[in-house]
Amino acid sequence: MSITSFEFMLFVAVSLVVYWNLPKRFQWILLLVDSLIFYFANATAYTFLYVAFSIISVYAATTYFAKVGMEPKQAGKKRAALAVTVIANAGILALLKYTNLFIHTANIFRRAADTSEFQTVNWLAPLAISFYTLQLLSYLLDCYWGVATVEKNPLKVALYTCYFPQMISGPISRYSEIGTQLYEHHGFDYKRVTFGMKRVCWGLVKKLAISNRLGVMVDLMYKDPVTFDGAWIWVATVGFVLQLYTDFSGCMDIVLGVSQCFGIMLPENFNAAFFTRSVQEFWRNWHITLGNWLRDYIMNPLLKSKAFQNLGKWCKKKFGKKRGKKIPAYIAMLVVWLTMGLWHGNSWKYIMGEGFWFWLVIVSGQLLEPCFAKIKTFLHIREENRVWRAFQMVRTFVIFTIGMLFFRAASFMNALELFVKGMHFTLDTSALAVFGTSNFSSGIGGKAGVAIMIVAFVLLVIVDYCHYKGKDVQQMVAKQNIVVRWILYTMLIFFVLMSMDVGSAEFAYAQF
Amino acid sequence: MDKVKLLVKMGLVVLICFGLNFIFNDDIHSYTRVMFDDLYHGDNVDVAFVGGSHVFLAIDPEIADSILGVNTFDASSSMQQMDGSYHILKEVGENHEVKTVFFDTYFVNGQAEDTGDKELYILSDHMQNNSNKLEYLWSARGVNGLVNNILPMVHSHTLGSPVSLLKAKFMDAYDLGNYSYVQYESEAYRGKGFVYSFENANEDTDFTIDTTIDPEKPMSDFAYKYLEAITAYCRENDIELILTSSPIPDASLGEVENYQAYIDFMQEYADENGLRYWNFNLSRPEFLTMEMEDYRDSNHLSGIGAEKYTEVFCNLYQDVKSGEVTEEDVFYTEYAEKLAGNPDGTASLR
Repeated sequence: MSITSFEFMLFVAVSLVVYWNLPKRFQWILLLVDSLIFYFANATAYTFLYVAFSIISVYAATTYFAKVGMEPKQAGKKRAALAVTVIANAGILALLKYTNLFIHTANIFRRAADTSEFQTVNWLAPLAISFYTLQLLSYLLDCYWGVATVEKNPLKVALYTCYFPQMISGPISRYSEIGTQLYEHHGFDYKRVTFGMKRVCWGLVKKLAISNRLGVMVDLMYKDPVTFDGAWIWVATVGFVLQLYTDFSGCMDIVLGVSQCFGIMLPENFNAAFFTRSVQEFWRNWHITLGNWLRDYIMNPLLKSKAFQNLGKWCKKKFGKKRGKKIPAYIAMLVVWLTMGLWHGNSWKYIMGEGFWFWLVIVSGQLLEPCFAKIKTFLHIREENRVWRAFQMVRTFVIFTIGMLFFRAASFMNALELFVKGMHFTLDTSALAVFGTSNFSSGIGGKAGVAIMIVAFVLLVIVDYCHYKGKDVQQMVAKQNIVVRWILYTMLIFFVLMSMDVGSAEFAYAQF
Repeated sequence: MDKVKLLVKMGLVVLICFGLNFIFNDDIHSYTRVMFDDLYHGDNVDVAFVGGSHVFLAIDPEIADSILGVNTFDASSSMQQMDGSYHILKEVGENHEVKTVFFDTYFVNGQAEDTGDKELYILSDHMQNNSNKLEYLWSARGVNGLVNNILPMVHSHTLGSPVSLLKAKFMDAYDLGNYSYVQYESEAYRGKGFVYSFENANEDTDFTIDTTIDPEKPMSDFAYKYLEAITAYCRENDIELILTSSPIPDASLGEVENYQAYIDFMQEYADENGLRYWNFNLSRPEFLTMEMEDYRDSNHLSGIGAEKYTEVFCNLYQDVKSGEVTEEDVFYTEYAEKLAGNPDGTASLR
């Protein structure tokens, strides 16, 4: 049951009608039932055993935390319970998702040693394991630190874990953000429901009208690296960046919109990332909930840990106060970025392209900051100068695009190969002939399809710019007169209907 | 009050969808639409030729009528899979008193594990709304199939200007017997489901058919399920069923691995069920030899080929019925024998 399908829309519509008419105390139970239906409609039934194990283990640990409270005498046992639960849950994630990475890596050495290779495994992972595991771990750690209230009802923990809108691609919600919302009564609220529905429609436009069409083009170009050589590699990668953005943010719009209809406001995952001016700022606005999770549950605990405190002291002695202070932060950042890469998939292309690359850019940027400052002074560049700001945005986009080349490539080695090829800035225009074929044309819906994609993309840029400027686009539209509003709605409905048969690519983060 | 407001708005959204659907759904340039018009509004169909494009490009009912002396009809649509054939057969059966059905068992369809969106909606979009159609849509696509039935624009929208489409819809596009919107340079609808192709294969034609047959399992479960359903339907309704295979260029078929396994499988199925199996790719030279111009491409007949094939096909039926010939007189049992003894005009291109 894809979330862009009529089946899903019907499922949500029926659920909403029942939900609004249910007595207060039963609403969360309906959400749990819906979530289970959604899970079993989208995943192999037995994989729910993993989910059940995670829920039970975290529930048991947090119940134990609540029982012993903050008693210093019990600190050791509490820590042990935490460690066992974290290892068990992260272990399942690692086992199901990263075993092949270890096997592939081991096979590199075995090939070098001329010994037989290990067979890769084909284990089915539960739906959205990468999302719900992080979500459960955040709840576990928050309970351990005493910043979250321990939930006594295991079924409520189950709902928090597999609340159906976020069981495709997140967002990674904290218990403090949605815990209360999930279990409290939500009556029918006209504005909230209609805003939610419009957001779903906008998400469908992004995914169906833009992303799927871009996907057809990008796939075509990546499948034929001989024809699409040189600068075409970067054209294809830019296309992929836009495809990924419209795919993932479109998915989030659908997910958040659906959840909004139920009265549950999930955290935002995107905020006009392409208008940001540095890589750090970019990642604060792209996949926000993952970035925040890594910051709060890996980076901060690492920096606060005794080992890092001691390392900091040692570095200060060795390299001076100013430089020594930064080294532990850079190391913690490296751990975070490598985890970020690893989270994206079981391949070195993610670890290097998604993780190491961005760490390298950020750290180099910070180390070279004094030089950049001097150059800026020398060139009389003002920070708020429009051209300078535009340059910064383009620079950030270029850096991100390079990272995405690794994301899209078949493997780490393939990414390097493409990168080298892309350095030959030739642009053979005869390659464009491929786009004239009837197969391609019917694949994206002909000229009408291209026109829809372009208009939808222009709308997207306007909407994102408004977000960047801190404006609420939905409110802006709501203030327009009825004719303008309905022309706009009709246009969006038209875009969706005209795009439902284009490609049928799954959401990029759906298998995570 | 707010709930009523929402309901009104949702109603408006539905109206917009239907309005857009009317403007942008291109159903006028469809062979299947006119074929169904002919089926629903024509004379009783005595003999139906069922299958995919290998039927509507191969059997000319006008010739068939004159030879058989009954009313024949091509109940076929583009890329029609076995499930589509089953449901179109039911559609014919519910509207006519059919006596004989020739079912084309194209081997590529025999490998299909599912029916695609295109082939599903090409057929279902123009079927009358009844339990047969809903059963077809539900079994193939569930809820999505039913919604696509209500809003065909989702899968069948114009890629060109909606203005001319709209104009045609308001003028004469839906007039019975008006075939002007299904006439093209390369092929033209000729009535009762038949499409005449003006194109002919030549030495430069790509004769590749990208399908392999598993000798252990020459037909997929999906295809077999519907082959059995068709057999059962004909048996229950006292309809004579003959399994057939239209001619395919030797340049194409000769390269398909394990085609003989498919022939054997079909023959065995026919024997087990007391049916006849006429595979015209096994024809003896005294009976039918196809030339290059008889084909349109790697797996379809041209208009010239269709006329030739229809005549031979219908005469065979008459002769077999009268006992003048038997299948053994007409067909080889092995495709290799046919290739050696009666190569067609494309065989040298293998």
